[in-house]
Amino acid sequence: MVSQFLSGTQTRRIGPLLDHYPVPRVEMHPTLAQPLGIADGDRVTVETRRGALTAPALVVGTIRPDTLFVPYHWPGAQSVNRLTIAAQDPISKIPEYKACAARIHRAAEA
Amino acid sequence: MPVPAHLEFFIDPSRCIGCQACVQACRECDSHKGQTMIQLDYVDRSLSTQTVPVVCMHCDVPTCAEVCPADAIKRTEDGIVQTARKPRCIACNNCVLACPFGVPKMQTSMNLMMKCDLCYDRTSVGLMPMCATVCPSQALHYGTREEIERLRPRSMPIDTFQFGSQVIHTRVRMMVPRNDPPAAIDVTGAFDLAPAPQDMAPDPLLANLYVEEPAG
Repeated sequence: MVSQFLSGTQTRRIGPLLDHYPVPRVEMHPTLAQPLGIADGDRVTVETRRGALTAPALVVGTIRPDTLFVPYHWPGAQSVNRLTIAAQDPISKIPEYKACAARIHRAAEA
Repeated sequence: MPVPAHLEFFIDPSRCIGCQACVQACRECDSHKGQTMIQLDYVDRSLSTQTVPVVCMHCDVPTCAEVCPADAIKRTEDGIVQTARKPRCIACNNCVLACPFGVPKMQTSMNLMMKCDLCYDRTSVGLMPMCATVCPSQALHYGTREEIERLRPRSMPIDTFQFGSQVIHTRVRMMVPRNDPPAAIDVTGAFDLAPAPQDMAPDPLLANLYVEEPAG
């Protein structure tokens, strides 16, 4: 998605950019979503060893069936960075590309 | 001054990368109060991220103007179809329903239809429309026919669209392959294709991803 940038501290202050993509969405392939009973737009919970995030699903064919993707431009409970691994290169301290094991299911009804 | 006839607007949908630069740039103009007059439509988001820019096509015989009961939509002699005039528009939505390209949008808060006017305040004084100015991938180009022929040796512009039995000629051009170009872009012809199956199979992506293991 093109309307948000990095932490969102600049781009989440601009109305039209937020209108384009207001909340993070969990992108997944139909072959992953269908057996779990997840339809496009359903609220889903992504869990890792480090945390969990609940957001609407984006069920599209433009992602690998074994992969979930969540954009990271939101803070607090909507921050997917709480779920991923905070490893850095030991010398340069550059963060690694974030990839980790995750579990996905439909969100429990609130 | 009128928009020069030798300057034309070319849309090349295959070059659109969906960056929304045109949408955000169009929004900034205060003459339409922060609303964008160009939009990017996904062709089929479940299959691809490909987008197509939708702007007013500035038809030679504008359907929107023909159906307007208040005579609020005018076409100037340079071929530009202007947006609805506020003193006349009664927000009846005739134009919204009639336009074959789905361009006019009704601003209900203002009781006024607004649509792209090719940035008339800019193009009438020799500037380019905002969307063409910021497009990074040349999906939107404003210039001469010679320029576009030089930039696109394998494409050519056409100005003819077919909606069933109705043929529409536009001032805005769309790029099609130069080899064996269609006489007109048949828009409703694509609607005759069978609808996508409701169940998960057959999924064209699965056919590519899951290859049967060779026996033995």
